[in-house]
Amino acid sequence: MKPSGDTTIIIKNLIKKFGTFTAVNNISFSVKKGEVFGFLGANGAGKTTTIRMMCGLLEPTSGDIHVGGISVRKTPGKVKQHIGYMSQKFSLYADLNPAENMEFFGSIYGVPAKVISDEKKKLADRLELSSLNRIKTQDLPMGFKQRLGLTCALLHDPEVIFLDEPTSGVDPLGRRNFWKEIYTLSTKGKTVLVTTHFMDEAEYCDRIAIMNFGRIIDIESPDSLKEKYSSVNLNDAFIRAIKLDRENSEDL
Amino acid sequence: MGLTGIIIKEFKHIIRDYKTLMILFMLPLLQMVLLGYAMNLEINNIDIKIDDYDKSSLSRKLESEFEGSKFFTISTDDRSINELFQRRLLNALVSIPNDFAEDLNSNRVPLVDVIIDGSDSNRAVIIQQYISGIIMEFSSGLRGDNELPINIVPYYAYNAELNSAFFFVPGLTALIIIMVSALLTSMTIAREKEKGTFDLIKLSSVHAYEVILGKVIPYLILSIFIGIFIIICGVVLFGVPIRGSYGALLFYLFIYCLTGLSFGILISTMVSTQLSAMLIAMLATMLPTLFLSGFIFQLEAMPKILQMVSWLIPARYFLVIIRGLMLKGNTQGELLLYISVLLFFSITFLGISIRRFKSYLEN
Repeated sequence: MKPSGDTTIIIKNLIKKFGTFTAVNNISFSVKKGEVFGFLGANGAGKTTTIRMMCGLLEPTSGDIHVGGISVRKTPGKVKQHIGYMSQKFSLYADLNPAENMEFFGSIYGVPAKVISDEKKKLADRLELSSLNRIKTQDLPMGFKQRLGLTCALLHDPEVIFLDEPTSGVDPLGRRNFWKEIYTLSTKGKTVLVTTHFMDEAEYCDRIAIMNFGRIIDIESPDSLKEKYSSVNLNDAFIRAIKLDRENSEDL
Repeated sequence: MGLTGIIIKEFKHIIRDYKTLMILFMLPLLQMVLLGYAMNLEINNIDIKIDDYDKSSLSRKLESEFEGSKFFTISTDDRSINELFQRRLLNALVSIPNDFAEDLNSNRVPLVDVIIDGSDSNRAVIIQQYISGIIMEFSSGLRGDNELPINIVPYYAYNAELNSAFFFVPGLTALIIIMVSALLTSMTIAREKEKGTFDLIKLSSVHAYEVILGKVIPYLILSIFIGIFIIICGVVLFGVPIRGSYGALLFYLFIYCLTGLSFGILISTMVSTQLSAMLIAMLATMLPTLFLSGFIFQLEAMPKILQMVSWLIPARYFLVIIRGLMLKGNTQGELLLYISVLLFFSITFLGISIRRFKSYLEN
């Protein structure tokens, strides 16, 4: 995949309606290669819907999505090889053990066996597990499950990674470790898009899009956001941004 | 390759879930044992009361014929006939009129009044036949010769002893196979939709046919094993014969399993939860197979519209095949039409499923 200049993802006038309800209301933004881009917003703000459309899991009502110069709407099949996706809804097989999950996802993504066995070793080291065969995935702690999910989503070495609330239900230490991995990925030139409602996690992002009722009300780096809304922390900035947005829309 | 990966994974799901696996094999066995010992169309212990208004030697002789039969128990309860029927103490009342002997001796035909509890109509018909049998025998005895003018010599071809297992083992095989295979496949795909595991599959580059075949092949092998298990139980426990070719039976079983599985896959492309998959698969296989396949009820006796619907029931064709192979020793030429229809069903279901699935995977 050849990224068009420095920009990997371009979203233009994206809209998604479910019946009369507008889940995503005319959003446009772009993401640079190697960036960690966060979506911050309350439940129902449209973060998950946006991510699912970007992966090609959900058909937009209108608008354009380009990932690495490929139109997701026109050729969803072509984008598949370049993206990795992991969701808040843990989507691995609970009754299989971690190694079997990796083998399965490796096989359907066409990953060579050698790569899978290397990745298994790496994951076992990182999680400090002696073996990935002895425990069912459903019996793993949440943090381990999420890292296994991430490993499975990355087996085919995608350039763009979509993470939909990857750390919900994970303890603080597990979250830290998870974010360390996200950081490593971005230093390797991978583009990471992540939704979250944890403010401390949003701090790790290069840029944040604050979403409210399907619209993006601001896109800035965490520091600029704090400055713009003259807040000491991101939590305050987020609350003020939402408040301001509500006042503005009431004025209209 | 994607296909082998899916097959391996699916086999692991099946083996890990050994409780379901146990049920899949124990349920048919249990059903067969219950049917085998409970389904007996012969009725014993018919409670009968005889009102003898004649009290002649002839009427007492008729009464003793009933006493001598193993099917009847003569009641001496004095309560009213209505009360006895209400309390289910009596099945039938036989009244011998007071001119019974006189009529017989003067070559007139006496009328014996029989009242039967008709609230269970099947039982009533059988009771009536038993009573008629006794009275017929009695009348022919009166003629002095024990011969009727015409006599029949029945022989029940293919099932000389009228063993009821010959009837229900093929039917049960047809029923269980279609239920289990449709249920298993529809639920395995619905489960993935429900749990979100399909998202990662959708994002991978596997083809729709790989997902479908990857799901069908493991369950095909499982259902064939279940089918063989039921047939072996029928042969070993109830002495049901297999008079046709074993190889043909196996091949037809394979096609029938495929029909059920592809039907299950078709259901799964239309629903999004395991619960609805289960309900639809059960309703769409169990009821038609029980009522419209010719397993229990005679298709010829049904209204035209139901007879037409029955042509859409896969079990209808498989019943002809399996009865033909087990009992009649049919050759392949005689079954060609039926197996072709099943094959046609399978290919159609699979084709539609793959198409629907393709658009689902590609969104």
